[in-house]
Amino acid sequence: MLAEYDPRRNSVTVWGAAKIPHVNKKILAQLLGWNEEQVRLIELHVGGGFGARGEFYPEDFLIPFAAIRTGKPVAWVEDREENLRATNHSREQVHRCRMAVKKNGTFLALTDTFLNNTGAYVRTHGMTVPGLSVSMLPGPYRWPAYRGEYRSVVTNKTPGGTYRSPGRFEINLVRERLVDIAARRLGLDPVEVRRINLIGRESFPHDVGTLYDGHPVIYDSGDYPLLLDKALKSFDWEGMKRWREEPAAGALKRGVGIGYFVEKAGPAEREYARIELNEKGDVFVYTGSVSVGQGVETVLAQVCASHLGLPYERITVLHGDTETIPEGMGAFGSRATMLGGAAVMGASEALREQLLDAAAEELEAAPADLVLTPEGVSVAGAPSRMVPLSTLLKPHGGVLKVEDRFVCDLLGFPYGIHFAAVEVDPGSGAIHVRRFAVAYDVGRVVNPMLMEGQISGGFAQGIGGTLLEEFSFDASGQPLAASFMDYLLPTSEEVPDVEMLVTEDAPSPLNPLGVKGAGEGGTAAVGAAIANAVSDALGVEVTRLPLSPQRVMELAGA
Amino acid sequence: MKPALFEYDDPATVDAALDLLARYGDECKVLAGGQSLVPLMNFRLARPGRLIDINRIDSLAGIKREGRSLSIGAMTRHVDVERSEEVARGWPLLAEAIGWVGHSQIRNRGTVGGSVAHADPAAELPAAFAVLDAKFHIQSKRGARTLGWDQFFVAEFTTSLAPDELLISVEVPPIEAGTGLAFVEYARRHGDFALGGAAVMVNVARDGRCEKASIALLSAGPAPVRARNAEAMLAGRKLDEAAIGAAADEAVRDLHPTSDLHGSSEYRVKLLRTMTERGLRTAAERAAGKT
Repeated sequence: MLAEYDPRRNSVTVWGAAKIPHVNKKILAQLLGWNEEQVRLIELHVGGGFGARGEFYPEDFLIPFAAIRTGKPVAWVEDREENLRATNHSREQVHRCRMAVKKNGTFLALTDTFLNNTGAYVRTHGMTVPGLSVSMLPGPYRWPAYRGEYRSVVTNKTPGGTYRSPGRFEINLVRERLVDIAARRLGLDPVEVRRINLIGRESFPHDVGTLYDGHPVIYDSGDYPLLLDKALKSFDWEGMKRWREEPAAGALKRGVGIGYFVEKAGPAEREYARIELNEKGDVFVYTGSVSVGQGVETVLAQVCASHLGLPYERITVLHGDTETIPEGMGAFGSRATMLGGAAVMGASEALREQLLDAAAEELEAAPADLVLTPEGVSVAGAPSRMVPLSTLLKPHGGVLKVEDRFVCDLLGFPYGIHFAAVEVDPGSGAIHVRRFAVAYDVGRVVNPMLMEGQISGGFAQGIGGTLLEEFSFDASGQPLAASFMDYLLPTSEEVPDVEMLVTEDAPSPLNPLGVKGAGEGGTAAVGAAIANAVSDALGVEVTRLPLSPQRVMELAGA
Repeated sequence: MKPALFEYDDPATVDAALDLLARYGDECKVLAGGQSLVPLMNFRLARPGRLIDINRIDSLAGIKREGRSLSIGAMTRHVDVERSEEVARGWPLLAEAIGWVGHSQIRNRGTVGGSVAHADPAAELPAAFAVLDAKFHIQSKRGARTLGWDQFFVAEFTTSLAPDELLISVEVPPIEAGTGLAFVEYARRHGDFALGGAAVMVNVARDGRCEKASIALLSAGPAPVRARNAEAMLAGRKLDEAAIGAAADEAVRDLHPTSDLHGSSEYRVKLLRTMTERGLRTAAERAAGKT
């Protein structure tokens, strides 16, 4: 991060924003007691967001403040130890939960009381995590009664915040383990117990009855039994169960497990887009969404191309500068394609309409009969009857600009299932994930390759949280995992291939694209599915993550 | 993540290096492949005032037969041992052990002498040399001496090398016919420091009885640990599951490995037992394949 004070304008420019530049601009201006016009934030490229990056951290105030006080540019350079010590930590929750279930497996009630560690003080996203946990614990099932309660406790650890699939990675473990435990005690098939309790297709929109951050949790669309059937078939669940029964090498023990989950996407309520078309046929898309390495530029250019009707190659997406883009909410909570995409779609359609209306008058033809190209607008089937863009854009000073603001108060709810097949080595505590598969319905897919990238990257992060990543502290509160030698991120050796089934059976009614965000479904139930598979392998009940080798060996009773 | 200030020399000959070591002694550290020393300096856990970089001294690198023994120069890179035909023919345990060292980038730069002189109790090569009863050839301006592995390794990151001494080469005795070798370890991630591991050598007679067993454990104590009692238990016995299990129990009986965030001492003892058992089993199978 670099901050520079401009005494001539009495303004400060900060490079290095990510995720939410406009939100942070507002916070910084408030803290400085300045007008927002005196503060400019510029986003820089980052390799990923991961959930913890980009919130308003203490240095986001201190560095601009130092630059203003000294009148000199001030840079913030953080080494890995400082980063691991001070970046938002997450996922420390302790749940006490119960479910009531009939002998035939029908769910009657669910109660949960949990503690959430928010660290030494409450940062910007300190309450986001437990709020998501308590409101989304019910998952994809019908519960005649649910009561959730939590206390967020302050401790002497690093403050808490979001980490990909925040609050849900935790509660998916809680709920999906509870379901497996219930099935085992009742002697029922865990998959069938899930099936008979899934919310039916006819029940959508389905009001869970909880609130997240003031938004009612109303599942917008879904066909949960259909996805289950498709996934069982596509991933050959019967074959996985047969594999489980075959003898494993040496002392290895085999287990299989699934985790069904509902994700959430959006909102932060609104997003901004502006499309500018010049005489040469170049299109510039200004968006309030930002890039955290997820490929949002590609997706928004695709949306613009298909709704404006000009070639993808002519479209440039610009983002992340609070001076050239008047407003924006950024990229978090799997929202950029949903809200940013819908705004770009709205602006693209409006621009096209304006252009074709003007051309229709010139050409004395119906707008529906016109074709837009980078050269101009012509009549379909009669390319010589063309009015060039320069003529059409002259009244607009050579550049036609159209803005759109897409507003949506409700959350979208993609849903999915994770499947895990593992071999556990009681002699070392190692867990070998032999197969992992993700079924995910996101309403509609804009770009299949980026969709796969989200799932595989999310899965890698899920493997980290399930098997490796842990911020340990000693008794005096010293952080022990202060380098990448001790804070163990998964590498390519630890992340097996992930099989995927992406479906589009339940488009979202909340936006014209029908999309739901796809950023977190690769992570959401990795812990749940692997914990279920390990419990199955060892005949024990896993109740804690990460599954370090020592914990696995203890569970195995070796 | 940047080192403290240091002086730097890169002598071209062993004599020049020994001159510098004699002059600066414990102010300086010898820089070989730098795969352990440089990270320690970047974390400022090590702050040597001077580095003697021996990468230019070509005579220190190389693998050659000396009589029936193998001689490995201190500056020989891990990758060259891993891929050596000489090693594969006579001392395959060394290549197997090096397969567990870090990642290929680390093995391309890391050296045999560096690993030995650094004396990390979790390192692979010290345990491999312990089970093979290797000797270490050392020089200083005061003269030359040779130490057995058990005299050389003293404690965690501590050897018998005096501040003015330089490790020149490692001498590995020949492996007799009818020998099975195995190196096993477990780490949380590929290439991480071992939570526990075992280097095993067994000689099996024609009648299937074990003539001699050697077991060296890594991450088991302050230095490589030879499980002498377990070795003695196996002498003269058939290497069946009962004998191997009993020897594995014995091998870890008095071990007190250090606890850390990746595993308690108790966990590590159990893991070492598993590693000993698996190492013995594999070595016995390989010996049986040879006889």
